[in-house]
Amino acid sequence: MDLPVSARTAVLLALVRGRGFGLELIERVRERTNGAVKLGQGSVYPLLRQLEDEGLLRSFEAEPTPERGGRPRRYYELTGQGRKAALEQRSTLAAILHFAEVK
Amino acid sequence: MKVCWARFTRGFRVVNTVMILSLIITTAIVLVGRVHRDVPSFSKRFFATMMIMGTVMVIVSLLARWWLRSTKRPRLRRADRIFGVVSALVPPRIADEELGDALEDLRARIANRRPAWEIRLKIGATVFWVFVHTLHYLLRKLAEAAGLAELLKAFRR
Repeated sequence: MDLPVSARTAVLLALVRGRGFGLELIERVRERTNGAVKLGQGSVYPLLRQLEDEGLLRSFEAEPTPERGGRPRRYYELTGQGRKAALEQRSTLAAILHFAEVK
Repeated sequence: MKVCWARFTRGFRVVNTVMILSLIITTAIVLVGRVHRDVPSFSKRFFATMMIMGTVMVIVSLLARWWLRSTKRPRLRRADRIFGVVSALVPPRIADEELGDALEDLRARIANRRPAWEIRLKIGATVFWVFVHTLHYLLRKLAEAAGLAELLKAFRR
């Protein structure tokens, strides 16, 4: 089945309410869409790096934890440009849904 | 302190494994070299080389079995050991982010008593994707170094 929204849009919208790391973002998107959008580890990490390269996200490392074998989490958050892009995506989606309701 | 210890033991395991493997491979190469120098008959040389390679494979597989075996939380430790070796082969950013997330995910799955095949599948998929992403990362870095970034952008359009 096709995804109702692109992985890019899903990640941007998942970050509107606050920062998150890769695994958390996958879970957040799955929970908020009731499982309709499932992001995989194969697509999320390159996408996050790509969005960071485009200047839509910035990332930083947290403290390493023993649960991760001494590896730190990498958190992502929207930049000003990223927030603007996410809100534009949200408006577009809302407009599409509104159009579908009226017709 | 716990983090330092985890990092130390992970690093120690990786160095240990690499050293043992290097020793076995070097010994095998030296033995094969001697066989090729000292044994005149082709068939005997071939047989001796096959014997050496077979022995090396048996030793490596036994070592791998010993290495993967553990008494406490075997599945998680197995994943941690495999990821420890993979960490040594991929860029630190990919290792920290993707392998760390995968380990956290595995911990949750094991706590939820998910079946063994699911855990194995997750470990395999993680290793596969980490290598794919590393290849992607290296190609991008190579392209950047060669000044091909603009060319790639143009190609994508």
